[in-house]
Amino acid sequence: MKEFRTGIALAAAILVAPAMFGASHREAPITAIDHAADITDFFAFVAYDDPTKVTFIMNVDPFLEPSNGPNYFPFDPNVVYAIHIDNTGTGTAAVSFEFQFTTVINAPAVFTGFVGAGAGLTAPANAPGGTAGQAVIPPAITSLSGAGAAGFSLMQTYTITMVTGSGSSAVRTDMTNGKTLIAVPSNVGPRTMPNYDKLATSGIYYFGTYNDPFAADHRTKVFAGTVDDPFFINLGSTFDSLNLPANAYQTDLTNSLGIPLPVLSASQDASLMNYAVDNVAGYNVNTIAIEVPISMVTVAGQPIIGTWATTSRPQATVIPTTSTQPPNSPVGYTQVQRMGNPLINELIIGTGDKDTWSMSDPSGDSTFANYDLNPLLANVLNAVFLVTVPDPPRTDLLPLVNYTGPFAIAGNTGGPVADLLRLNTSVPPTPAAQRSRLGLLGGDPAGWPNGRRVTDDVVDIALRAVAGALCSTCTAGGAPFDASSVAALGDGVNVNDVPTQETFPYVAFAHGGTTTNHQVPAPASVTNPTFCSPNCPQ
Amino acid sequence: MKVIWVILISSLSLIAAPTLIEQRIDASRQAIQKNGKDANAYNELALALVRQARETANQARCVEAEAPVAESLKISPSGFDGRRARVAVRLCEKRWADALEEATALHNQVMDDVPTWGYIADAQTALGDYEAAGRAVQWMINMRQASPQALQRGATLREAYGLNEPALDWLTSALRMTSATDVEERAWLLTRIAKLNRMMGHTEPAEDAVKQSLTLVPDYPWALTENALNLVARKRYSDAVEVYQQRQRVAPSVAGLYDLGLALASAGKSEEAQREFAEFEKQALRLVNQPDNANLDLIAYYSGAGKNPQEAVRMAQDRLTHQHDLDTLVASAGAFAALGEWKEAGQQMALALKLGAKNPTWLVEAGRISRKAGDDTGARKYFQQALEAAPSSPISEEVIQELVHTNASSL
Repeated sequence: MKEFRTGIALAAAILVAPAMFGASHREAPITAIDHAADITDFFAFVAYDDPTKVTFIMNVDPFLEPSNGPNYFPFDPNVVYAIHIDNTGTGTAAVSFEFQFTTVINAPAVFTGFVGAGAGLTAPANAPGGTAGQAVIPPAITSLSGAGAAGFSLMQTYTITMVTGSGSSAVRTDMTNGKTLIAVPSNVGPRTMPNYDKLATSGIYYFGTYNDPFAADHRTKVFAGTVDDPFFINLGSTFDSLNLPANAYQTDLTNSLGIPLPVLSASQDASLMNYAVDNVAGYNVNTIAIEVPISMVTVAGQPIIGTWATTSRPQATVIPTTSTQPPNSPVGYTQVQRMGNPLINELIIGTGDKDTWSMSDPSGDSTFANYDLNPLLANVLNAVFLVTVPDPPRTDLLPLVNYTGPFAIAGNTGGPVADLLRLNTSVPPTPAAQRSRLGLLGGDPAGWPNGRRVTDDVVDIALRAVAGALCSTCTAGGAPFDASSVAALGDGVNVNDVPTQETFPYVAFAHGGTTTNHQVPAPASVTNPTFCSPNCPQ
Repeated sequence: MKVIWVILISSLSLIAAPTLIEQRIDASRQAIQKNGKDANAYNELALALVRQARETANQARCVEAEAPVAESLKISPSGFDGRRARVAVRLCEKRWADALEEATALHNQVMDDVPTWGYIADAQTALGDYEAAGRAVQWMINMRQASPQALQRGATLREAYGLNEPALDWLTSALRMTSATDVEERAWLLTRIAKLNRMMGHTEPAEDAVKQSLTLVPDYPWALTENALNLVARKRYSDAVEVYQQRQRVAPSVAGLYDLGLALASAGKSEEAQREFAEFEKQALRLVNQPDNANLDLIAYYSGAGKNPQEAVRMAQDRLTHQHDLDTLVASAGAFAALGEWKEAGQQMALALKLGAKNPTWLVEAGRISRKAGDDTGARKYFQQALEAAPSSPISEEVIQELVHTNASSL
């Protein structure tokens, strides 16, 4: 009977979809289009002010221009934003926090999402249509709800669901327990939002433990909204095939082909100044931050966790039993993107595999192990700058993708290859004065790759690590590799354009729409940079 | 002189404009003429010939596509696009296992390539691994939501799982998304829509879809076949004969001889039917060991008019060693039934229906087999399902009679 055959492979013509190429902070082709689901950064670290707590921050939706009204930057209500924690060394989520947003438009007839001025403005005597005396502009927005929120039209509330276990045995607990959580909008400007920092601070919500949301100890904190993007990088030069500008480096070194070497001097490396353009300066990003007791996400006696963030969208399925979804995906959703360690998808995974990587579960990352063990970026550094890099396989990079080295778990042989941001929660936070932007490479045990803080210079750390800075027994061309030869590589951008906070949510609040300032081009002289942050030389 | 001009102009108007696919073939050939080392032009030519194979229902085009692919790979031996074009040619030639092997290798090289996922799905569907095919199509949807190519393939799988309305939904969406200029693709989709509607007993929408298909592409072979099947379902056998004959004139095929024979037999023209069957058998036997064969129809023939059930069973079992798609399982069930091996036939039918396919013809056959095997409960279940699958179908009266018969025999 030929009934069925007409449906089959003669339909196998023959669409050749054009290849698509994305850029960093939009690191995979699919998230170059789906910006609302694009995870820009993911952070995890022991809370600065309480070593019994751990903070997770996921940032999404890159390059938000602060002045871009009238709707600014809502989270996507169709996306489930989630943070996952593996506390068993198996590369699978034992605990997850899912965030979902709902948009409410309070003043649908008003053309902008946010409006307000002083104590409010009424129609003057010469108002059209005999409306003199009627309220036209509400008072300035000074609160997220109630009095002071009359002009807050485009509002988003959100829920938090804690998920323990996965699949059919997952237990889902609503953490909000009836509390209304409001996402903090972008900083429109001083007339509309005259005291923005206070407004943003009011978006920090406190909870008890997950099984007692109203416990007086308020051990859980959460914040969602638009903030300053804490990522800093000379993005343009990096992706111009590593065309890092010569005038950023005081060392003034070149290779035999005359190409400037991106090597920072000792003083540059130690400074918190920028010697090249931070292309992310002045932009906002959407953030979701949650701080919970360490005991909530670890098992007793085992302080090491692996963590990652995901975004997922509702998805049509071919047939009900066909599943390509990671086990931690919300039911009926498909994963769009994930992030554990920074810069993996951007700098390590090939463009032809980025989307598959984004949509797959980290526990299956052995499929991509060749990228980790033989990163093309090392070859590029070698080709562009003629720096010597270690021979593959790069087992020195393995602690980034399994539980070995500083993340070894007793009784665990390493677990699967899985890109998770691993954090040893028993390592206390480093006080601000002793903190190094270079994390473990700078002798700071609480920095990346031991978790990731908002001030960690992951670009410089990654450049050095890929070039071999973590090597102790590597070879290069058969001879012992000298890790110190790559110990000062950098892009010339050492610090964020604005100071981050020392308390939750740690990121700086949003740039204002009327004071947008993206940094000007490169300084004329490295000894006298025309821009620097946060402390300019006198 | 004026007369000559009128004749010339009239004859010009009778020359059909080249189809989109013919234009693509021309453009590729011109590109190759300009630059004989243009691998991409060879790939485009191969793919256009594969499309033409479907457009004209002429498998010879698949073989013709081998040459440009070979040329492309000579120029660029590890070229991804060339290798992918070769997969398309393998699928065209029905070399499913070869296609799957190469497509899998391509996928491992570039995991995000959506067309490669599509080819994997096609090969897996043909081989009968519907779960693997479903995963492949799901990846297509995950990566490039709502592409017509993903939706079409998804519709095929939904049909296998008995999700007929959702399958129709996706085919309709695919049709909406297909460009108005790609008339053959639209005609193909309309034919598939017609077939699903016919299966669900929606004869008027089925007829309407076939008419639209034939308006877009006059004498479109697939639409002609579907039209004939629609007529057979409505017991208009003489009309079906005419359409099958037209189809054979437009795009002669071995399987078409068998279809024509069946229609002739149903129309009471047994001598003519026997002639067609004889010719069919002769030509089908020549192709038995080729990838593009008519073995399914040969199995059906030997199970029925050909009166050689042992050979039918042997051929079916041999085919099942290579692929276990639903059509093959159903054919195998028919072969065992022809041999009177009702239990075995029932088991094959149960396998075919295991995923949940709601094809009323198959369900009725399953019911009859169950009754012969002494399983009246099973028979009733299948007949009931057939009625539910297509309550207003021309087959429904027959099903009700079967139910009555089954109930009577159980008393």
